[in-house]
Amino acid sequence: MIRHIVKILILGACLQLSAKDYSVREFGAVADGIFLNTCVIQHAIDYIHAHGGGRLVFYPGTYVTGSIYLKSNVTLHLKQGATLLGSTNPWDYVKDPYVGWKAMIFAIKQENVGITGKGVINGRGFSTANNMIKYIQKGLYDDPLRNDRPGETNRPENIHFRECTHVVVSDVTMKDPASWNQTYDQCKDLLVERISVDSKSYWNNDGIDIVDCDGAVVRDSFFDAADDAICLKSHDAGAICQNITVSNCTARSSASGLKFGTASRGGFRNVKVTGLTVYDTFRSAITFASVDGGQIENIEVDGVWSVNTGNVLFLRIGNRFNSGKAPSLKNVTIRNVYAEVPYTKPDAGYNYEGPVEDYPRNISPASIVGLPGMRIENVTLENIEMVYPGRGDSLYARVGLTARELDGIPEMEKSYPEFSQFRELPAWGLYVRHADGIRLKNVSFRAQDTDYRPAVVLDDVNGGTFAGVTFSEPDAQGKEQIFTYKSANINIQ
Amino acid sequence: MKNFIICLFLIITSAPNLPAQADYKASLFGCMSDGVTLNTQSIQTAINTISSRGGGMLHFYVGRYLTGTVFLKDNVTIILHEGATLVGVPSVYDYAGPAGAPKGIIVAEGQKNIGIAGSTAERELNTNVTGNGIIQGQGAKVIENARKQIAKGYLDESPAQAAPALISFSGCSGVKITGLMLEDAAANAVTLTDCTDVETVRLLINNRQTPASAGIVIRRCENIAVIDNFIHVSGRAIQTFRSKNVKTKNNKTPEGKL
Repeated sequence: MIRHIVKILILGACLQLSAKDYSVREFGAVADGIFLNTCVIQHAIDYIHAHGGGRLVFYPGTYVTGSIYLKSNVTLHLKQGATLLGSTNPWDYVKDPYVGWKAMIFAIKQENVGITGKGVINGRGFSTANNMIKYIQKGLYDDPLRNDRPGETNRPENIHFRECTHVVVSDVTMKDPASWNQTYDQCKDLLVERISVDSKSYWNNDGIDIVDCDGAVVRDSFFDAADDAICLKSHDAGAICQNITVSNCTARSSASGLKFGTASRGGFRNVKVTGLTVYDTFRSAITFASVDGGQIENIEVDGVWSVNTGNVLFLRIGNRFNSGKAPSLKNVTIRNVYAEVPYTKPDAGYNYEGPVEDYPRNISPASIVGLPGMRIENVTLENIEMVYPGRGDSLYARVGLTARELDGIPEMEKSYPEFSQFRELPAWGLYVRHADGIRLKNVSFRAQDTDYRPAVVLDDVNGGTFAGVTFSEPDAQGKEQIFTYKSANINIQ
Repeated sequence: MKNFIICLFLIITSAPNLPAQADYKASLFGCMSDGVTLNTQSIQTAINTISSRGGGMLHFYVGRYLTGTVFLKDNVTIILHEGATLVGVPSVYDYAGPAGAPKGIIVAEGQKNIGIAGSTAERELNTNVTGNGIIQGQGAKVIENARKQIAKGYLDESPAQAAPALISFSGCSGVKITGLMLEDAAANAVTLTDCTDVETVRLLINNRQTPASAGIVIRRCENIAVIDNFIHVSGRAIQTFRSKNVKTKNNKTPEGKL
């Protein structure tokens, strides 16, 4: 028996060894931060791919490159001290005709690919994006310059993987892409762990985008992004983003910390998020949006520490482009959350701060907002403490509790979903509209100053349980903190 | 009178679609003359843009422009002004060639009305200046790099296959290569394969870094003019294979007239 185990161990060791290491310098790469290594790196990848696979190792040094394509059974391994430095010349990047994006590292329809090691991928996207603007202005590249910047598909990401299987991205630091930072679109069996992301060198810079993937683990990682930090998307109405776990991650964003959407055509299913820290984040710690006909269901969030974040939670059904499918958002459980919302701008001082918009409004409450006939179903909030600044000033902005005022809140079904989109809302802690089955258990709402609004407003809610829900607001003894309107079967214990 | 107008109309509309001789400076496309920045994709973008707009001249002024292979396209002429040098990058993996023809720094496959010239056409006509611009192959470095890669087993080509010429055109017609200094190729300086109507005029070819390297190699071509060139090479000055109507006139080597 022991002999068998030894044999197995030796066999295992041999298999390990068969993944051979190759130094990229052996292929002629120059790590001087100047020489453009695109063709050398590509040849090395092709060679390893054709010779049984292995790791292409980057020893300490700075390797400039344009677009390269990773191939099956090849891992880029960046040693600590090694940097893959993106060329700042837009022409050095391919806009892949299949995926329609530019990127530094592509992998398309490959398997067993990875990027590992404690090195750095630095896109130098600020320079590349601004160089691109010059070419567009000269008429050499076709782009409408919407909002006076190149479209995000005309700026290189650091990583774009599409339809790959068995993908490992670990330990690397990624920084300064010109667009989204890393996209994994329709990949299966994706592991992202121990990575650090600094993605705020240009507009739309997300931290990570997991698009229509089946089977993904993101853990022990740090994301600091100008746009959404940890972002699940669904681009394809015929696909779905499912079986995803996100654990022990930290997010900082000038948009949302954890976001499902905005593109939400197919949907999101079976997602578990544990141990999430969000700080200095402009919009919501958590946004789940189904606005393009997608199905969101079976979502569990357990353990969130959110401080200095513009909003805690935003669940939204909208109806932008539904291609005939009715959107849904149901079976969401969020538990063990501590969240503080500041009175001031939470991302002040960061590169590409979030845009000041939707004013006048007082501090917005967490919100769960469906549409008439497209209702959010079965949301459980448990063991949650939310600290708000209060200070809602009815002279500055006011939506009271009259039928006229509550019905006057726009539905905005075609709008881009954002917690602030409705401007002033009538609650300081939680606003729920067009929803069924809302359960709050052991939830504490604390306002640090008085507010003209009640803590909670339920509008068109059918079925609600409030157990162990507490409120604290200075000078508000006797104030009714839960207001229900057009709602039924609300059980307040 | 009516017939005359119709004729005039026909003449105007049926006139050959002459390329617009628009001028473009390389800097428009972000080309850097520092000798360090690898300009391959910037030059390629320039060529693609000019060709897609009906053609014209891409001007390089004094400076060193590092590049790997670029593909010339229909109706584009590269103008290398005095002191402008296209420098081949030493890395062997930055080169490609037309199918079935040698690799090169300036490559064209199946293109019409293309050129590389050392000065503008007017200046050539007026002064008969030779050798304004330079294509510098850094052939010894490229070959050294190729040999190392082959020895390690990473490059599955012979040194001869891996080595780029300075100019390799295949299947092209209406080609002018004029008034240039062509130096230090990793292989032959100029190779023409299956081309028709080519002028190679007033070239100063200095190609001795690699042994047995030729000046101009003409293979299966037709209507080729090789005139007023000075050719100092380690191999044959001019080699022709199975070609028709190759006119050579007033070409010299260090040993004298050819």
